[in-house]
Amino acid sequence: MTTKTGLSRSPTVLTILAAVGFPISLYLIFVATPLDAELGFTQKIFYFHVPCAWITYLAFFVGSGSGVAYLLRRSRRWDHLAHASIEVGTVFTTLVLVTGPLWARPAWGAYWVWDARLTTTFVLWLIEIAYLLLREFVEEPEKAARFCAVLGLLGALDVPVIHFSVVLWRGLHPEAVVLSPRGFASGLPADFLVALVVSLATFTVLFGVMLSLRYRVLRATEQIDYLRRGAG
Amino acid sequence: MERHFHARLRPVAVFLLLSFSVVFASGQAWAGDARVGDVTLWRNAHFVVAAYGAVWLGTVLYILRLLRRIAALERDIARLQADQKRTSS
Repeated sequence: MTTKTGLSRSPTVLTILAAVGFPISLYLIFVATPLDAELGFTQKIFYFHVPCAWITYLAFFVGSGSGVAYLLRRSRRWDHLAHASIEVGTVFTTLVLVTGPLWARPAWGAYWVWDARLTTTFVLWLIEIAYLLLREFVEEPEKAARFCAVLGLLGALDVPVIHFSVVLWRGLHPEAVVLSPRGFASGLPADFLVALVVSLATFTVLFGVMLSLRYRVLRATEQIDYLRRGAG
Repeated sequence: MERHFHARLRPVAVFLLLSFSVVFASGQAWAGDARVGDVTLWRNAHFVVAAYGAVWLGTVLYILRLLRRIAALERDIARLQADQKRTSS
């Protein structure tokens, strides 16, 4: 049993990339990109609200995909990857639910409305919390892995509902500007788009760093359990 | 099970604390019937920068915490492997 895998070796490169991407994205967001004519400085939240939402989707696809791989192959590595991905995803979903209201208050005059996009995102966050609780309170690791893989799949079903909720049910939340039905980033000025793409890339790399570190912790913890059982 | 629930959720709690501090602060700034046009650039800038700071600070703290945990776990693994080798020889 070993903890050294491609995923566990990758953080150094990813950490350097994130460390480089972070100041560049901040420069683009705060210096290079002009202020929005209507929302002013508040619109700058867009550059981390949208990447956080993207990471929420990505984390759930990685998590539920790994959960399915675990159900098919019964390899603990897949289960650890699913666990790490959903856990890191929970942090980003929390950030989506915090940055959204920050932006909503000046834009809509209210921190929270029970709009379809907001409600379905909140449901996803509850599923993530349920996933983490299930991990903690089911004693048998194999059983926890099985239950969580199924719950992860249920959560993954919510992701397309979140994305298309703004099209299916008209509410206050604006339509997607990046993966828009009218084409990629349609209607977004070029300088706004550059800042957004750099921010998306930085957050994706950051997700990679957090995922690989969390994965290493889970692998190492299991290795310790294995060694202790062997010693006992 | 040795991993404690509270310890496992501590990073999430740090994020929540930081994030809700920002929400609270923004509530202070935008209290009342303030509309977009009423919010001054300084106030907007102040809270957007605070939000960015909270996110990035939380991220750095989370990563540092994970790195420390990995280092501690790897020390434990090395110690247990050495113990096993000693026992078997």
